[in-house]
Amino acid sequence: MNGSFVRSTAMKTIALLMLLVAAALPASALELESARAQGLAGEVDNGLLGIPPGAAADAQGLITTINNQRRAEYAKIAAQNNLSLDVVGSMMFEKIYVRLPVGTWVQVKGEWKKKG
Amino acid sequence: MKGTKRILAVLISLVLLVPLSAWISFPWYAQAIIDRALEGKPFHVRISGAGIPGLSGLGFRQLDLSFTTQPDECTKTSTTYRLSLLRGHLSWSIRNGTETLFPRHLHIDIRFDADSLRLHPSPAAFLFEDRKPQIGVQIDLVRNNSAVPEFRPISVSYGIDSASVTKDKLRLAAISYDISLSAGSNWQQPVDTLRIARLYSDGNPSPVGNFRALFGSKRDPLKPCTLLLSNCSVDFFAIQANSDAIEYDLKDQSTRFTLRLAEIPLDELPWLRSPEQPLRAAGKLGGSIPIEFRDSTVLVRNAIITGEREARLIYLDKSKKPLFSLDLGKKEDPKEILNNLNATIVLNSRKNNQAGIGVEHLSTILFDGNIAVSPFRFDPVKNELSLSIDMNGVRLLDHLHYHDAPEGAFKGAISGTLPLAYGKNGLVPGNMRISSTASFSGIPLRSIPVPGSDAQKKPFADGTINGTLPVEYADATLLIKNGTVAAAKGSAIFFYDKENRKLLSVDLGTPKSALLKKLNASVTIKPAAGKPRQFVLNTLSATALDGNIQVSPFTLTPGSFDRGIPFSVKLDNVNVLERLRLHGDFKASLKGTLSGTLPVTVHSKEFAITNGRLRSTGGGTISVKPAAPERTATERIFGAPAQDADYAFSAPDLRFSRHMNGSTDIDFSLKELQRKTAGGELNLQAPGGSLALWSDRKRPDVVILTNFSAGIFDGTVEIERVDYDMEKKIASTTLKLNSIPLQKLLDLQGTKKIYATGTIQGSIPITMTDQIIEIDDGSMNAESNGQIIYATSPEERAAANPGLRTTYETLSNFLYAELLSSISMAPDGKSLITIRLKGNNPDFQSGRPVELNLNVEQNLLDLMRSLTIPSNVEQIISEKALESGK
Repeated sequence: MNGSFVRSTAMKTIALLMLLVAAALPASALELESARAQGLAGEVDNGLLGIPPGAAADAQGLITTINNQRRAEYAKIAAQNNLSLDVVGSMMFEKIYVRLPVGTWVQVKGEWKKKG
Repeated sequence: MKGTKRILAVLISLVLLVPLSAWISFPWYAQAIIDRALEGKPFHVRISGAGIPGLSGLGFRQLDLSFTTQPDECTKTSTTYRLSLLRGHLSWSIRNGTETLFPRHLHIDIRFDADSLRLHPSPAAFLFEDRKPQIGVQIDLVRNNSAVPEFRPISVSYGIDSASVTKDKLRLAAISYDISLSAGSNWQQPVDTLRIARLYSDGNPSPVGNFRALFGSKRDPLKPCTLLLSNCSVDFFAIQANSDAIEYDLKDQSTRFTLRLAEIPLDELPWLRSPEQPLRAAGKLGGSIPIEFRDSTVLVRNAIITGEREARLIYLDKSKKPLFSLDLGKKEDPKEILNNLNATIVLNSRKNNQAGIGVEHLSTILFDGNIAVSPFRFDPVKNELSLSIDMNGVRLLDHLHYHDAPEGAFKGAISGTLPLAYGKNGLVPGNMRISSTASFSGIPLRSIPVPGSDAQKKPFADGTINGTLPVEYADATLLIKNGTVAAAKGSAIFFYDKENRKLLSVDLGTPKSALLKKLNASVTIKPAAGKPRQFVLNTLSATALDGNIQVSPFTLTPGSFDRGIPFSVKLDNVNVLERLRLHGDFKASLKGTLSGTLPVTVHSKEFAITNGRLRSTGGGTISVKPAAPERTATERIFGAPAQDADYAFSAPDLRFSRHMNGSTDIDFSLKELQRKTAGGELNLQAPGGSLALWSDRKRPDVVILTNFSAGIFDGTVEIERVDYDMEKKIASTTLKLNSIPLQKLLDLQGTKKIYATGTIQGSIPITMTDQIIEIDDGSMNAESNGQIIYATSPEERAAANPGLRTTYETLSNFLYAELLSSISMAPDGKSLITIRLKGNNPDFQSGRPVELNLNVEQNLLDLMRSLTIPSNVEQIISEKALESGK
């Protein structure tokens, strides 16, 4: 199993996961989109959510819940593909980033900024 | 007949009475007889108080003999000499030369005895006095055909003993000389020894005495106006000076001679013998001093003083040990100390009626430089003198030796003015103003006295220093302006442990540039009458190793070391860290500059530092490599890892105090500390704490660390107190952990499938014995809820038995609400970790509550030593029967 194959399989799985997340967790998804739109939550380049700078901690509970879910899913993918959680999370971020509306907070390499 | 008898009786009576009357009345006509007898003679005799003569003698109250010398080719003026004998007695004995009743030739021995004799020339030049003089005169009385007999003087002898000559306030005493004049020798005084035992000035003894010379009246036909004294010697203080000849010129009344000094022991000079003085001398002096003496004025022209037989002046330290010496001559090669010495000295100056010796001019060349001494007077009454010496280019330092540094050398010329006073307190320098550019080389650092170093049996420092110190001294203040000091390669200062093993050294070698530059200092020496001198350090600063060092002012008095001398040393960016060397099992590789302040109090044998601070923006690595027996390759691979460790640190900041008893408190902080061993790394962020060294005299090997804290794994580790016995290598304490991310601990385990969130706090009692660590019932608990994920692949789950599959499912997204663990580790590293988890998996079995208990047994030491070992936690999870769903 070479690296590109692993990566390709992982990407397919992630795509599938995206659909599952969207279908299975409609309430969380809606809340997340709202929180991100209000600037209460942002996407971090490890595939998890974080609180943007200056934002209130109103969405902390939501963020923890979603992060737990994401981490569990990432772990599965990592185990299936013999990858680390961080690598899966990074790949996930790339997919999420594409779908983010302009103006959403993102943290890349430790630095928060709004998607342009 | 009767008338005839009467006439005859009268005549007889007359015959008897006339001589009797003449005998009785002799005192009244004696002067007339003398005047008549000496009529036409060039001298006069006056007698007063003459008694009635006896058969062989005559007493008198005073007998004056005066005679006048006429001007001649040697003396332009006539001089009248008046010789007086007081309360004397004239005795004679007459021998008949022809044995007839009326002899034609009588030999008369006349002897004068008197209480005193005075000879007083006029015009007045001197006064000669003698007590109990005895003068013998031999005269032949010859009766020719004429009625008046002829006196023929045959000889005069006068043994002078304990006579004196007074001239103004100068008095030569205890003069002895035998005068022996005779017609047979044409009235020439034969050569005899003239002795003058003592010389007084204004009634006080002078250091000049015991003069001896041979003198006779016969003159050199080539120098008819010169009186010659030969084989002369005189004592001056303890010095005996000699001269082949002393010539006295009657024409100009001057005396000339060349004084030869030989083998004069320097240590017998009076001002070098005082036990209170720190100045001593050794060796001998010689010299040649041409002297001309005229009108009480001594002129010295072109004199030379040489140092012989290792002549030297020695300056002693407080313990009377030689500190510095000034070489004046070599053993085999006498060296000219002084040459071209010229002086004008007035004895008993009449100008201002001051007694003693006045030096109106004194100049010489000393050590290739010029010396000129101001006019001064030596007062023998007070035994005092004060003078001022002007120096120009005197290369004194070239001859200076520092006894603790026999291989060292000084160079430099001194110029300036040095007032000196000699008196009861010995030789005392006044307000001197001197300047010199002194250079030194090869001065061993170990010879520099350092307080507190007595306790060390090893040298404080090694190597040598050299440099240049432009020095000025004026108004009791010593200034060093822009000096430089360099240390030779290999120079270093050392710090030792209690067993005198080298612990730390600072390499001072500066082969390319100076160790200290721009060295500026100002020291004022405050003289205080009757009080000990004070040395006040006003300023001391230098550029050192690209940084600056500054010492605060302080005052030094003889009692200062008992009370303690407080001052502070300020360091500013001194590039010293790269020069630090550790010894023994340690090795340092550091870089960076050091800044800070050291408030020091120095006592005679100890020192204290109060609230000192040293900090650096640099850092480096200290490697510990304990001595270990050589191991085989097999032992190295399979045996216990070596104890070698590297400690890398940065930005050290130390605040410390060292007390007089040696106990030392150090508050320290670092930016970071990394411990790196063959097994892995341990990083501590911003470690800091307090160290107490030698705080307990009963436990000198115990180092106490308190209030230690550091960042570790994004959390913190704290130690409230640990006493570490360096000798026994034992310690016992409790590590307090806070906010340690659980994931970091799992990463430490090397797990790849377990992910966790949340932080841990812990309390871990550890006991260390000779680097073996034991943990007894430590606890590590989650600070809040979190998530644990044990990720398994579908294949793993499929292959698992139902029970294990359930566990896998549970841990695929386990949200714990409680995580409690305990940890114990035996000295051999065997450890038991028990973990209790309470929580649920929201994705499994509707998120029902689950409680998990884990017991992990492993060798933690092995784990810590090698972070690369695969985690056996997964294995344990797989194998352990898990209780779930309770």
